[in-house]
Formats: sequence, C-alpha cells, structure tokens
Amino acid sequence: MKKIIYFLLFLGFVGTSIFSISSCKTSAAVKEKTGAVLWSENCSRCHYSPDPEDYNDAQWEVIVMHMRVRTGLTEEESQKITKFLQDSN
Amino acid sequence: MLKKVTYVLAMVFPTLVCNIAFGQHQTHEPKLNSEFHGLSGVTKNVIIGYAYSDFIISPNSDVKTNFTRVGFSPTMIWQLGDKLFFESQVEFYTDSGNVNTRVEYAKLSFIVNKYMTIGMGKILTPFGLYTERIEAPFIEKLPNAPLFFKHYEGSPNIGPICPEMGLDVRGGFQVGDAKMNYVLYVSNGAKLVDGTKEVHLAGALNYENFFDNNSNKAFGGRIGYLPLSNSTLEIGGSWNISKPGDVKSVYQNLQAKAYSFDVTYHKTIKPIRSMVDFKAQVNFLTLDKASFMNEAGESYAFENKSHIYYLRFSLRPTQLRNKYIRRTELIARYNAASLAHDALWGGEFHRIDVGLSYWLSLRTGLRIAYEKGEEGHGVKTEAILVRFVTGF
Ligand code: HEC
Repeated sequence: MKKIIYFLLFLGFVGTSIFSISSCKTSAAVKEKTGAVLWSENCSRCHYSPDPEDYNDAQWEVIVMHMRVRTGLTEEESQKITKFLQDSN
Repeated sequence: MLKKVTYVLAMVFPTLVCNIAFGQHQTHEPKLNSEFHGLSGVTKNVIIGYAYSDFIISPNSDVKTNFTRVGFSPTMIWQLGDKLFFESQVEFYTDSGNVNTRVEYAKLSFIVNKYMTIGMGKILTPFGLYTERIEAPFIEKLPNAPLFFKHYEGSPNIGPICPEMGLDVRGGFQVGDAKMNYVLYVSNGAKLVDGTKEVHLAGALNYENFFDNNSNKAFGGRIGYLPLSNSTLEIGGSWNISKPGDVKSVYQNLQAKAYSFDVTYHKTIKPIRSMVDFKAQVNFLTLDKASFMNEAGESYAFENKSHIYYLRFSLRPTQLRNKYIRRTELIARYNAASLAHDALWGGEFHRIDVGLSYWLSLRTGLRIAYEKGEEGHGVKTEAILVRFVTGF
C-alpha cells in the first residue's frame, strides 16, 4: 500500500514537473524544423533509417507511432516526420 | 496525521495528472459514434521484424567451427484510431539444436495525451538503453551482446536486462531547445535464486519472473535528456527497486536496488567524412546481505554488490565516394563486469570486441567480430563470430 502511495506521489511529481518544464520557451529555429530535418536527426539515432519508399502511408503512421512511444519522441516531431515520410514515398 | 496527509496528497496529485492528461480534450465535441475520442476509425497494422543467422569459430574449444543459431522475430503492431495500439514480438530461434519460441514483448498502449502513454503487458524494461533500444540484432552492430547485458539461462542478471510483466507510463517533451523523455513502471520485479536448486547461483537475481514469487512489485524508471537541439546526444539515468525473495521465505524482506547510467552520441563529422556513434551503459546492483548454503551444506554470507558496463564506438565513412568503403562500419567495444566477489558466481570479467559490419542495405548487414577476454577466475576466452542479419 505504502509503495502504491509513493508511486502515485511520484507520478504526480513527474506530471507537475512536465507541466512546468514544458512551458520553457523553445526557439523559433527549433519550432520551425521541417519533417525532413527531424527525420534525419531522429530516425537514425539508433538504427539506419529506412527509406521513405519502404512502407506505405498507413504503415508509416503505425511505425512512427510505435517509435514515438518506444523512444520518447515528442508529438510534434512524430507528426511532422509521419507527414514527411508519407509525402516522400 | 502523516498518513492522512499522504492520502490527501495521493488523491490530489493523480487528479492533477489527470487534469493535465485530459485537459486538452475538453474543447472537443464528443463524437456520436464513439465513446472515447480517438478510439474509433480504421484499424491499421504492420508486420516488421528481423532475421539473422550466426556462425562461430572458437579456437579454444573442441568444436572449432559451428553454425550455432538462426532466428527470426516478426513484430506485429495494430493501431486502432489515433490513441490505441498493440505491439507484440514473437521470437523463433534454434539454439543447440532445439527450436525455441517466446513472446519477447506484448503490450497494449493508450496515448493519454501528448505527454503521456500508458501501456501494460510484457514490456521491454526501460533500464538503461540496451534492452529497449539496441538489443534487436539488426540494430546491434556487433554479432553478440555486451557481456552480461543479455539474459542467458544460468547467468546472473545485474539489473533488469530482460522483458518483464508490468505497466509503464512514458512520454517525451521539449524543454526549451532540449528534449526530455521519461518512463515510470511497476513490474513483477526480480526473483532471488536462493540456491536450493542452483547452488552455484545462490544470491543472484533473475528478472525473468513472469509469475510473481511475492506480492511486492518493483518500481523503476528512466529519465533521458537530450541537451542539444539536433538530438545527437542523450544521457539517461535509470533505477529499479524490488524485493526479490520468495513470499514467506527468510529472504522475503531483502531489497534489491539497481541503478544505471547511459550515454549515446551520434553525428556525421564532415572533416573525416564519417558518421560516428558512441554508446555506453553502466549497471549497478546491490542486494541486502543474506546467508546461503554451499554444496557442502555450510552457510556463508557475502557482500552482494555487482556492476557491469560497456563502451562501444563505431565509425562509418558515409561520405566517401567509394561505395564499398561507404558501406563498411568499424566497431570496437570494451565490456567489463565485477560480480559480487565472494559469491560462487562472482569474479572479474572483461572482454574486447572488434568488428566490421558490411551494410548491404540500410537494414541488412554482414558482421564479423573478433573477441578476446577473461572470465571469472582467469579463464581466457577467444572467438570469431559472424552474423548475417536483416530487418524488414
Ligand atoms: C531511440 C532509438 C530509436 C529511434 C530514435 C528510432 N528507432 Fe526505429 N527502432 C528502434 C528499435 C529498438 C526498433 C526495433 C523494434 C523491435 O524490434 O522491437 C526499431 C524498429 C524500427 C523499424 C522496423 C524495422 C525492422 O526492420 O524491424 C522501423 C521501420 C523504424 N524503427 C523506423 C524508425 C523511424 C521512422 C524513426 C524516426 C521517427 C525511428 N525508427 C527512430 C529504435 C529507434
């Protein structure tokens, strides 16, 4: 029981921190990064990134969602990357 | 009093979290045909995965050459609407002549909001980077795993290095120009090997505890920080606290604490026309002191502290004209382990691996590596490993 309470407290702490930290200002250069740039920066961090032509639009949507959750990409990044991959296949 | 305050806080914080979580949807009009926003729509699915085959030359053993292992792992992902998805990887491999099948992971995830996804099932434990992000054979650039970073039957686990049954909460977000990602989880946790069956492993932990041996759950997490806006560097810290003893046994109150730090750096450096990739991880594990029985039936106790680490560096001249050189990646890795000295499984281990991966495509590689090391009590090891692998 005690552990569950600690876990909830911790969850709360993380939730609050995320809320306050995420209000830090992001520069325009980072905000305006294109899907292509984000793809080349992020998708080859762990493995060589597959070619956009390797999968169809629906498959890219599923794959990027999988990668977003597995590797902690932000929502904005994954949306832009999905669009880029779908536009270039 | 303190208890009451804790209860109140425990109520307030989750409410706050839920507020952050669901707050953003308050302006959405509820759809007539769906109870939950984002949970209806076309089901999309994809099968990805990898396949590999291994060959070993071991000059010090009786059988000097051996085609040892072949395996393939289809990974199936189903996405329903834009918030729910299920991912599962099944592993088929033959090892020592036997065909093995196992579910590597199977997890149902729900994207609560842009900062948080909740998942439950058999999860790849996010302890350090290796298990969750590098272990897949088409990603690991060498033909085998770093020393003690992969689970093998009969070898101690220094921290959670294999999938576990549990629940995790995770997400990633921008912090100014930097980025952070987090995972928090609760799982069955480790199981203590008490030595009744495997005497030589007494005091070791096994994180493959798919049906829990006690009611204590392990708590852990990882925080990752990417300080540079081009995402080339990530540093991470992880922890995992559990009580691994069998319920009602003398070991039931023992506590195991594991910590890990990891670094990854990856960049194309123009002057040397190459892409460099550096990865490192260290795991520390401490278990409260306890007594076990040796083969002669005598009791012994020991300081149960261990750590393992590896550093891997690779270089690929991606910007050279010659396509054969461009496809070649050179890799070096140093592995070391210091396992509880007075345990029957303890000792100092180290190994150096140098290898080459020839990339036939972005996900298909022919790898060859030379390994030389020393295990436990001065036993020397040496081998040449070959792996042919593809991701699909
Ligand atoms: C932090 C590490 C990491 C990052 C960043 C990452 N991936 Fe992955 N990726 C993985 C891992 C680990 C797997 C293997 C999944 C498995 O087998 O469970 C994988 C698998 C894949 C696969 C399946 C290929 C196969 O052969 O199995 C595709 C496609 C893929 N990633 C695309 C992407 C794209 C696109 C991005 C960028 C949005 C990306 N990845 C970013 C770690 C990463």
